[in-house]
Amino acid sequence: MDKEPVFLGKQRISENIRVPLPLLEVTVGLALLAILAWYAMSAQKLPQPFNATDIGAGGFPLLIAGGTIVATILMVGFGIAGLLGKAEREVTQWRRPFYVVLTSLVFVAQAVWFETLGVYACVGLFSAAVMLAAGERRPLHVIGVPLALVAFVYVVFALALNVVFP
Amino acid sequence: MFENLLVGFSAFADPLVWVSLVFGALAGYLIGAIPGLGPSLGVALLIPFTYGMDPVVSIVGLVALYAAAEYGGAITAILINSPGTSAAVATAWDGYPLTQQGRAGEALMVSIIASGIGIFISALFLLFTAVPLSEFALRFGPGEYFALALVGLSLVVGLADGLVIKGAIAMGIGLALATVGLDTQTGVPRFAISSELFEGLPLVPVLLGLYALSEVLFMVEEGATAKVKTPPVGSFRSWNWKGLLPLNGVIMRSSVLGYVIGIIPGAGASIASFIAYATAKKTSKKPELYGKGSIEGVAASEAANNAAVSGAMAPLLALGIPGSPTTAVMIGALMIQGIQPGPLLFSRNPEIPYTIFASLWIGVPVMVFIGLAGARGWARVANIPRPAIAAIVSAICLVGAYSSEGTMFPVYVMTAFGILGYLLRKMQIPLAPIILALVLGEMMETNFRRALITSHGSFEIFYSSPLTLVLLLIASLAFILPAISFARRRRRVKQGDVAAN
Repeated sequence: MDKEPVFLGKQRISENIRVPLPLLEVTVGLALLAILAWYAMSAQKLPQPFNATDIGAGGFPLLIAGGTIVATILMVGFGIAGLLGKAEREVTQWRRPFYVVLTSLVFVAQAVWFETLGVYACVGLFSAAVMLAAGERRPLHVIGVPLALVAFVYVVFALALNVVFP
Repeated sequence: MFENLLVGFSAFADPLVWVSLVFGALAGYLIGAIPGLGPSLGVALLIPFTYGMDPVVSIVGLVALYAAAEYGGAITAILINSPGTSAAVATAWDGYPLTQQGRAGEALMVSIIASGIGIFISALFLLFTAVPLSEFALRFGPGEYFALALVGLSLVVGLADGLVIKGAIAMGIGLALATVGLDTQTGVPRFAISSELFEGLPLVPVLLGLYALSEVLFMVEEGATAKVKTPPVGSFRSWNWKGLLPLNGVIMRSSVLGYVIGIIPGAGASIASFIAYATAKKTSKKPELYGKGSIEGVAASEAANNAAVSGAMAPLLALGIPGSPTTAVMIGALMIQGIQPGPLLFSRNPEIPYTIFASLWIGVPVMVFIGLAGARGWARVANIPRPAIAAIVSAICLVGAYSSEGTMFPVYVMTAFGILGYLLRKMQIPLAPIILALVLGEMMETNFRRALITSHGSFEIFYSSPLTLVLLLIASLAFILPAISFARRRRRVKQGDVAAN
């Protein structure tokens, strides 16, 4: 895993992380295999059908799990071959990872506090946060766009479409 | 058919339908002109605005947005060499060199007119193929329907960017997600960790999360972008309209080609524009101009990618099988309105397909006018600051997800799928098979099980009917051929490495 500094003007704002794709394939593939194993086991526990000719509630999920497990094992296998092989590895770039994680947390926070804060405060505050995370630093823009969005949500959703918000 | 077509046209007696058409076209141009935002994201973002609307009004807006977004991508492709959509990549090959030669206005005019003609011709084909296809599909049994859905999915996987293995994983994820909720045959809850999941995963929040919210994270990755200087376009009154006449042949051919390719699930507008461009180059009297500023190249690419819009509608309307990610999103919009696309749509809700046909024709002059009149303005759309777009998209996702059911659960689903979509795209796992599988999953399972029940548990039903057999063979080839091509490429790379050493 390599790191490259990212600059905005002279200010160092974030690292640019480069992860070999095969490493990602193996890691995510193994996690996916665990989820698929749970999925297959849950499917197996589903009740048997009353009709002997039906495959039951768990039959189709088992087929899906089987096919996807085969495809995932192949991906993990190719990933391991890629990690051990001498050929040049494909790399995935994760630019501005700090801000991406921050924005993901903003998404989670807006979902958690939506009912507590109400729609207008939520849209105003969190859209400003998203703008800041996306690199906007002009105060007029950071204040103006969220205000316009709040007005848009009120006019279109609350007034025109009659949506009742918390 | 013609009586129903009159019903379709009569829908435009309602001023709201016109408002929806114009709004959809404007939104489509806007979304298409912004690099990174495509028609799928546009249609997903528009769905929350259609919740309380009449189905006809909402579908007209969605179709107008889809068509206009496919065209909108050409504007930035021609003016700043930054295709707004993947289908406009071939347009940039000749469009931008024309701009560099000071012929931006001519290139824009040709692209808009070719797009309009592409939609007009392909809508005619749609009318004369979708109706007989839906009548033919009425004879399908559960085995045929299962095989058809599998063909749709496997072609999307086979034609998806990247490895077929990752496409297959995406398909598996989508199908697995489709099994969440109460089993439709026995009523047994499956994989539902909370009672809110008994009805299955809500489709709109999943779409908003995977397509729109994940895109916000990519915008954050890019950070604030620099302003792009747009070249002068000139007034369209001064453009040479006679220059269009020699392009008739190439526009007609590309429109037909675009429609036919658009029908194939997974092929879509991008492949249509590349193939039409290559065909036009092969048959051109001046092939040497291609890539250096050929007006024919622009016309071919644009006529084809817009004709593919109608092509993608054919399997959606006639068979209920979405052929592209955008039509998969559109199926979600129709389901919200209580409309199930498929062969019965033409008898149960004829106003829907026929209004779509009518809106494609009526929408052409509206789209061409908006495109020509606002050409200079649309070019500036690419300069809207990325952070502002990110904020707008995330706010619409939040409000749209909440409005879909008026509860918090869809908001949690949308947030989770937004982050998941970003991670999957980073892994180069395509999103289109997930959406298509999620939409088709229930239909596939129901028909698979029905087929087995009617055949008393025998798998013979899947190879005794010639149509089912052919469809299953196509589905298998869609997986096998890309895998063979991948293995060959790997062998060639290895041989190259050995030779280099």
